[in-house]
Amino acid sequence: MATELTSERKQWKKFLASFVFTTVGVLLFTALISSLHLDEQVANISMLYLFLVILAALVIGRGAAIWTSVASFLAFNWFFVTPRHTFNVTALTDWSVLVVFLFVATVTGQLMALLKARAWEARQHEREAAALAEASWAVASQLDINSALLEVLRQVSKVVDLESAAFVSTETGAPVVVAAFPVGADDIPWLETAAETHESLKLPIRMKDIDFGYAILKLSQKGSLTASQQRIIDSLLGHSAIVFQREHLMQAEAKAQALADADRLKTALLSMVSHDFRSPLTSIKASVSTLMEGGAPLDVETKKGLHHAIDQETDRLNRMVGNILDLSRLEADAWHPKLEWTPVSELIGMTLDQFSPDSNKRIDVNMSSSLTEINVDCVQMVQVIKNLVENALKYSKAEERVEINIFRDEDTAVIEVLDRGRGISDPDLEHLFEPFYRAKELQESSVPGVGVGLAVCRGLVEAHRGSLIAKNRDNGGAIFRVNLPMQPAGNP
Amino acid sequence: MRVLVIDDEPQIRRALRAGLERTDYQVMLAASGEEGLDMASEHPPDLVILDLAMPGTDGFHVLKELRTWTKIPVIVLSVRDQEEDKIKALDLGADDYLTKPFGVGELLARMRAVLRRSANEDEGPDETVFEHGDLKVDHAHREVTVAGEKVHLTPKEYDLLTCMVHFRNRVLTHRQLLSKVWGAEYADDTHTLRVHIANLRNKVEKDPARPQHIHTETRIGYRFKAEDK
Repeated sequence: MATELTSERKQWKKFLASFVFTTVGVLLFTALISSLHLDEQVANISMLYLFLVILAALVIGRGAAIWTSVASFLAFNWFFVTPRHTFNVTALTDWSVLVVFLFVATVTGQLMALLKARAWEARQHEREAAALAEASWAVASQLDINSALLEVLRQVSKVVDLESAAFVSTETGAPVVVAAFPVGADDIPWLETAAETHESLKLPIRMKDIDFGYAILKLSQKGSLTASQQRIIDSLLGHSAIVFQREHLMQAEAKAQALADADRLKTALLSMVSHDFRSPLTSIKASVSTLMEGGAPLDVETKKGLHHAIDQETDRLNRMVGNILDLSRLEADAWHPKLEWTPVSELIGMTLDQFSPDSNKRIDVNMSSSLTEINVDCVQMVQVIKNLVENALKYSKAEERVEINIFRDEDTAVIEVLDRGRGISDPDLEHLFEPFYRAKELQESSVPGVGVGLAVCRGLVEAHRGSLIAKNRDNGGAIFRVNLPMQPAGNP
Repeated sequence: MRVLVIDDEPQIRRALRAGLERTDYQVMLAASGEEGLDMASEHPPDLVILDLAMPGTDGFHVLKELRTWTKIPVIVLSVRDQEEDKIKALDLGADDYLTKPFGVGELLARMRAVLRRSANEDEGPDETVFEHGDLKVDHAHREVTVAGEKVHLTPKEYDLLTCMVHFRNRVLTHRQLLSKVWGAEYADDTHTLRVHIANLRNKVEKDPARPQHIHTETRIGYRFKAEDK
């Protein structure tokens, strides 16, 4: 109601302004004529007033032009028709002047109105074309369904007067609002109650027999949509159907990808069980059967060696089982870190405890006073550092040292593991963290491993909302760097 | 010494019997929780080795039953990554745990530790002076020295150290240490304990990142390691 009042008032004001404007115009024009004594030089003064009438029709409109004709006629008659300063409308010429004025005013005003309407239509077409073009661009460039659909709604709002609008997806059963205009309008009650009424439209979105959902448009304009608005909305909804369909396809593709990944994992696990498990099992079986066989007695040294081999190989099998468990959990996305504030020295202590005294002699630790406590799942973070250090030891020469640096870099807790090994080749850098990836020269080598450790590390670090990166050192060797976000509060 | 082994896997029972009998323990074997409870009440053993994961009456149940009438030491067997189970068992009164697979040497060391502890359960310090490596704790004078140098410990650090020394070679859960040193109302304040342990290590360990005395049992607690004499 309030808006109607103001719009009425506006129109009234406009009317009054044009009335005052044209009246003042006529008076000024009359003053100009008499001051310049044009009436004495120009034969037909009324022609001068005609100029004013055309001007009013061109600039303001038909109504103003008619008023100008009447005012001009009155002024002309009063000031310039003898006897002056009286209204004398007796001669036929006087009437013909008025008729001509009115005729010119009407015709010119009509022509102007037509012209304006044409111009408005042209602008409207332009707007519609622009809206369609922008919607197409949004659909093509925004891969994210929500922003693409929001853009479509924004374009709809340029073509019709929208109070609010939304896209609702029904693909998963229950209706879900995927985009709302204006932003944040998805929680307002109108969505629930919106039905097909005269001011809100519910338009289905479907393509190739798939129902994706519907659009709800709540209009603020009066009356129904024009044919051109209807046309443009239909074609914008066509765009939205493309967006829905693309989302549909992308989800299907993601599912297929997950299945393919799971399949790849199964294959890799099978090859791991069949190949990598066989070798420790073979050596255990051979050692045990040798010890059990009759025949010439074995000397003490040989027996000791066989026992030692069995012990070592069972440990190796145990580690491999652990790796597989880690990996299956990684693939199932089942890492949920249990964060606890842990003294850095304790974290490092737990890690180093996993290494033999001989390995420990090769490991240097640099802890910094800038970082005394760290918020991690200690079991998982120990596993990460252990895997990284294990790799560093494995891929560098026995006399080379391995460094662990742990420090704070602004808002990041950093754990670095550095070695002086062979480094990482460029193709390996890309695939290093993929499960079962092993560097080419390692694939047939005797260095044990199945390429699980780094994949597990990255999974664990990412579960901590951190990142794990690898790069080469300047003078040979590799750096693995774990970045973990520090909690804003310094104290737990 | 009589040891009762309760495990549903015959191969493990057989291997444990062989390993333990060689070290002059008398071994009783039970293939299930029920059988174990019966045997324990008929011929009370000096120590129980108990598998947590068994069909039917599981290890937790057996442990609860045992603890209603006896304080005999119990060592539970568990698998990797089941810290919650281990903590639960320790809180139910198990004296220590071992992660499968384990070596018999490890098992024997754990057994010695819990048997030694149960011999002087809840008494004061079992010696006036305790020495391990370069660490010396003089209970009479409340004095701690490392390599002959006197170390200043806060009262809580001293209590923490002597508590762990008293229960040496045995795991102490966070809750156990907190209730023994700070009191039962602080049993859940793991962070305080961690900070005190870190400080204590800085004072008594030569290399706090490679502790010789105070070892961390990840997620579970701490163990003061000292070779048996």
